Amino acid sequence: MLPLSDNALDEMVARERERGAPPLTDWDSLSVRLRAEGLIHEPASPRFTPRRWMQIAAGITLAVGGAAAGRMSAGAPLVPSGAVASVAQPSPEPAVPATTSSPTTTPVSSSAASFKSPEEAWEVLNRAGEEYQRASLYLSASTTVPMPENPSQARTRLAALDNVMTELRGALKEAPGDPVIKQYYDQTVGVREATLVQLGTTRY
Amino acid sequence: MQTDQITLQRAMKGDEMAMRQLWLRHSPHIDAVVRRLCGDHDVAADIAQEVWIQIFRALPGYRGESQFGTWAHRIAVNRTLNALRKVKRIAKLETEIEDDSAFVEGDSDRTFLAESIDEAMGKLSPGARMVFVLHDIEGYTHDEIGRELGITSGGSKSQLFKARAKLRRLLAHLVDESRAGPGLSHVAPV
Repeated sequence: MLPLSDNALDEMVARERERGAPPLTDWDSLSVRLRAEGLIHEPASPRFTPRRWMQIAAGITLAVGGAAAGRMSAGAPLVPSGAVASVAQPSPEPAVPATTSSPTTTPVSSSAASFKSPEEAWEVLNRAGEEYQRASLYLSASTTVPMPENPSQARTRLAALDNVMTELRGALKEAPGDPVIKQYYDQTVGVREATLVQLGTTRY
Repeated sequence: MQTDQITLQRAMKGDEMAMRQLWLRHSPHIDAVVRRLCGDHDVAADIAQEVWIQIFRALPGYRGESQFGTWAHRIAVNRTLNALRKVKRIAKLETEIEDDSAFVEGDSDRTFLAESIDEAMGKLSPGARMVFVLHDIEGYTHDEIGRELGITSGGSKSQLFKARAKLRRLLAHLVDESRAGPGLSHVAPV
């Protein structure tokens, strides 16, 4: 058998150069080391101010509005049928603040009068906000983004994410401390990277 | 590979999300060079974590004179070579590459060419593999390789020549397979 030519070997080398591979490291264990060395700085203030809450509420509104628009554009009902029933018939029970950080869903009262004081409402809002941030962090860190069905869909998704990133980057330059913009930017970058990783490891 | 400035700036300040984004974007290629240089998955996994910690330690000193990926690549190579020196895996680089009879061609997966060259590189001696990876894949000059590995430039050239000759023999069957099928377009004419 004749040896491979130099040109053919060079082509293989070029492909090898471009080829990525599944990481040898995982972020969970790496972040523990980085944190231990003080290379990761924890956020300064875990509590929420009313101003911060206005920003988060705006973010939630955007997210819910986006989901609703998506459902409408897909021809689906605005609200799932199960949800309609629960919204149409407000629970008579007073709101009970969650006592654990369990990921199980907790019924939320739709009656504003169920809170006994503004302090109680703030307490519930703070707790919900922390859960919201935790869930957002998890989702943006997750690589379990649904895989596009074909290369065309993948390109469409990447183009859309690029556009969103451009807009958010511009907004972040104008308001670098805005946590809502930062959060959306993080999530968009995370989903884009996850899509790229999936594309790199999937053959259509 | 471009890394956006906002992510870099935030990572320099210790923002975990930004650091994770850098890792997510660059680990496929950074970890790949570590694995190629090590030739052993378990050793490479240990060294890769040290490499990433070193990258984040050095990040505040990154001045943007080269792309982040290129800068991180250099750290990965240096750190890996240092780590391999510690575990004494770089030894007698000037020795001859072992005889061909020690290598088995038939056990490679003929379906994936990329996997096969990876596997073929694993069958080179540690010194020859490092010279080949540094020169042909990472783009180092023979002088740079000589400095990194503590050998002469001529020794580096000699190792590269022998490594390439060995790989051409180990990979010859893949071209035969490609000639017979649709994969022909991926391989240069022989």
